[in-house]
Amino acid sequence: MKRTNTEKIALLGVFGALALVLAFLENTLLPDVPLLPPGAKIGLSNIVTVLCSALFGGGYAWYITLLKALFSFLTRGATAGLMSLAGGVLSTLALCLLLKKTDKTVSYLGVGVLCAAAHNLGQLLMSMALTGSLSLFYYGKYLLLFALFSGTLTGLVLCVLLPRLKRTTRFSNIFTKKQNAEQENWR
Amino acid sequence: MKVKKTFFRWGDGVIYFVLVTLCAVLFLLPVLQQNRPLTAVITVGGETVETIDLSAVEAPYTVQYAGCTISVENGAIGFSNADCPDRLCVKTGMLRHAGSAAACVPNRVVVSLRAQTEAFDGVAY
Repeated sequence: MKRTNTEKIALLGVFGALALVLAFLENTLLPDVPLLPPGAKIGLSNIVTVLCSALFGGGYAWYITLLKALFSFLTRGATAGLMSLAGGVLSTLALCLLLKKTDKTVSYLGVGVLCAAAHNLGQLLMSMALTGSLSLFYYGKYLLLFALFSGTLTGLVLCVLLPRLKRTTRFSNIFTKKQNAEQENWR
Repeated sequence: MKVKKTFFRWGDGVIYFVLVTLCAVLFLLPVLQQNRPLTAVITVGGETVETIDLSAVEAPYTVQYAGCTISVENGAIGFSNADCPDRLCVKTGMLRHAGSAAACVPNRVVVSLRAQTEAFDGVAY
């Protein structure tokens, strides 16, 4: 049985909602730890982006990324929207580059870390562009250090979550064609 | 469907190695220029509006730029108040080391610290 476009859209909507809720949760509920660089986040919603691209195909991650940027633009203003967009675009680019290599070369641990680093780099570049000041590059080292930890965390979640999600029948039929063929061969 | 059991592949090692090395280099670089007198530079929208020699400040005072209040004291500078929603600049706290910076992105105000150059030290001697 093949999933129709309608089913894909519905599932994409569910994933989108999940990403927004996770982004909202880490914006409001997580306490500000003084040791962390200001503005640093764990990137819980990045889990959803990677999930989405791994289950539906690389292109679908862009929908989640754009939805997240639009959401923060509407709720937290233009600056937050631009920051979210810059981080999201770079992180999704890194994701799309790595996705083809997830069979043999890298695990989702590496994907999580590189996406987190790319996300923080995007936000740093955008804040430098918005303020017109290069001195903010100073933050880079703190953001990079934090990305190593947060990326490992999201990567571990993905390593645990993805194989199990892929086994469930609900998701197994909406893979890309190549994955469908693989699945048939295996059967 | 084949379940992938490997958590760590060699590609992950490469990614971690590159990022950790980069991080270590970025942290070690500023150590070379410690213990020099500090100059604070305040820019709004990329243009420098004020330069303060922090070693010459005697009593703490505050300055106002584009919705941000910046407090200045001997050897330190930082945002004390801002009218933006998340106030990340205030959470950054006071800056005390050369190369460090704080920014209010919505108001486009940046405060950064620089070590004064050797030429000025020469005058002091």
